[in-house]
Amino acid sequence: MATKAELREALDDYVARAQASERVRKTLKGWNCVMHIQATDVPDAEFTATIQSGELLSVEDGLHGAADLIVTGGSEDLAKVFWGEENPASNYMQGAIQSRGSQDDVMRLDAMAMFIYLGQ
Amino acid sequence: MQPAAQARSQVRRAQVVIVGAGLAGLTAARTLVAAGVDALVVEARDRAGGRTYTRPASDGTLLDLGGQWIGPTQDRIAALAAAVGADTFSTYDTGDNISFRDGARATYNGAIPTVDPLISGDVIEALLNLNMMSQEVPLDAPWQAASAAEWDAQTAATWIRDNVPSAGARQMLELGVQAVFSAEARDISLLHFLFYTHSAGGLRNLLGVTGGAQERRFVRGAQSVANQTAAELGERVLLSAPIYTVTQDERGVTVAGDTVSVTAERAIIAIPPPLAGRLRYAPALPGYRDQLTQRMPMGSVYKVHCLYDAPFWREEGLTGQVSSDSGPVRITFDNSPPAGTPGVLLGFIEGDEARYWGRRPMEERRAAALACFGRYFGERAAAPQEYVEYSWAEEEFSRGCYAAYMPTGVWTAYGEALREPIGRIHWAGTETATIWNGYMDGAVQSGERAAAEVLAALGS
Repeated sequence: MATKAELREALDDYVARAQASERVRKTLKGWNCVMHIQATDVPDAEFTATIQSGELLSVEDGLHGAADLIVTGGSEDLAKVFWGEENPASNYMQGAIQSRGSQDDVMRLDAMAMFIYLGQ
Repeated sequence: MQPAAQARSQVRRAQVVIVGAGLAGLTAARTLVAAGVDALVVEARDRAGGRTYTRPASDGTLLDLGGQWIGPTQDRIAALAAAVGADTFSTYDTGDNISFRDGARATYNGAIPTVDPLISGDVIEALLNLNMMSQEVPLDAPWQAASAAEWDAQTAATWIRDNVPSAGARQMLELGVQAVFSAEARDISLLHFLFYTHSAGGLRNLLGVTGGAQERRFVRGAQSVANQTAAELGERVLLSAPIYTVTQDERGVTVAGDTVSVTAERAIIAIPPPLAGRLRYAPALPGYRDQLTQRMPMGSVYKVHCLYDAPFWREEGLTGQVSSDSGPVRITFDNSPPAGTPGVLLGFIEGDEARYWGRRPMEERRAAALACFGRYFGERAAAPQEYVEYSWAEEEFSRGCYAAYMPTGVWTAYGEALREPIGRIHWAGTETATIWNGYMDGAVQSGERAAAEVLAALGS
């Protein structure tokens, strides 16, 4: 199990890699989304990520605003994806992490996660 | 179900006659009967199930030679299966997949090969763009998409060529099209590709195993759903009763063949559009409708099953899934029964490969298919205990699988004719579905929709 602090650290690293990715910015240009991230096995491990014009701007502790996307999963699985250790499209992760929201937002999140994982 | 001998030379009456005992026709009948309507199904084959067909291998292992998978959001086929007691189990999806490209074998995990990140990136970008475009296609009227004219004037291959930079990614996407449509990307209108994608809820659903359309299988085979439904309908299903003519006038509609003639108030034609176009109608159908069916070809596919004493690839940490750029078999799955033994590998020969190999002798085709399994899984895979192949193009009453598709220009010129009833004749079949078009779920939806049309027409 990952702690809330470890998850936050992984998320900050994820944001940095997303911001460094030209492909994320280019492909997801125009995408605006508020994403809530919740670890199902760690109390209070809840975060809000804001994406503006395809750029993952920031992550804050807690759930803020109305979410377009809600991502839930075990803390360990979420941390592995955020650290880039696990393919977010792997057979296991397809079942372990759930994304709820409009099809558009889910598709864009999938693409962003894969670009970051691939170092694109 | 009534056997062929008893059906010979019968003259029958019913309120509604349904041509085709696939999932669409059986669902329509089931819906109508539940509403108190006297419905009769006539089926050309000596079995129910249409494009689902489950046969035992020599050791009794059930093999799905036709449609076989059910996945999330396929709620209609799930409800029908539950109602008739057809249980499901998870497709084996544990471990790594194999990517075979340029003669080299590599492993990866997940729906998209990640062996070359640049190629993977191009694939992901293309999938996202196609997914986003697909959202703009109205499911009940694809020809009304804002870009319908532009998209229907090009093939999926044209779009891939013009929008995907790397050759490896283009090849991977074309393989994906083959896997989904059992046709080549050059065969299919981009608009149809986008409609089909939207109808499934996105490419992730279409291509995925866990979380996608390939997630689960039926314990007693996919045909068990149709068999159970037909069994519940009992003598309302006539087998071995091919229909050749459909005649309608102000008094009713009569469908007739060599063994049976049924007169009814309404008819539902629940067979693939190309086969519906081969029936003789009196009066003749409007040219607009007939020309639609002239333009909807069926996909080309062989399903190949290889049986082994055990699923040895599982011990090697493999799912049994392959995506390959060469050979007749380019896509494989672990198709072992729920207990895990015997081991069964399923391979698909699709599109051009099916067209080519379908004209070669069986022994030659078998050798070429087994050479593929050997390249992917090692020598053991090239020497199965049993080899079973099935070609849907050779099936007289399907003439291809998985479904009929739209080449360029068809949706925009003829789309409105797809579901529109003509007099007393209504149309069903997965090709007419707006949700999960081409799948078992779409077949069920189409049967429900056609039944609703008929109930409205009957004033029930």
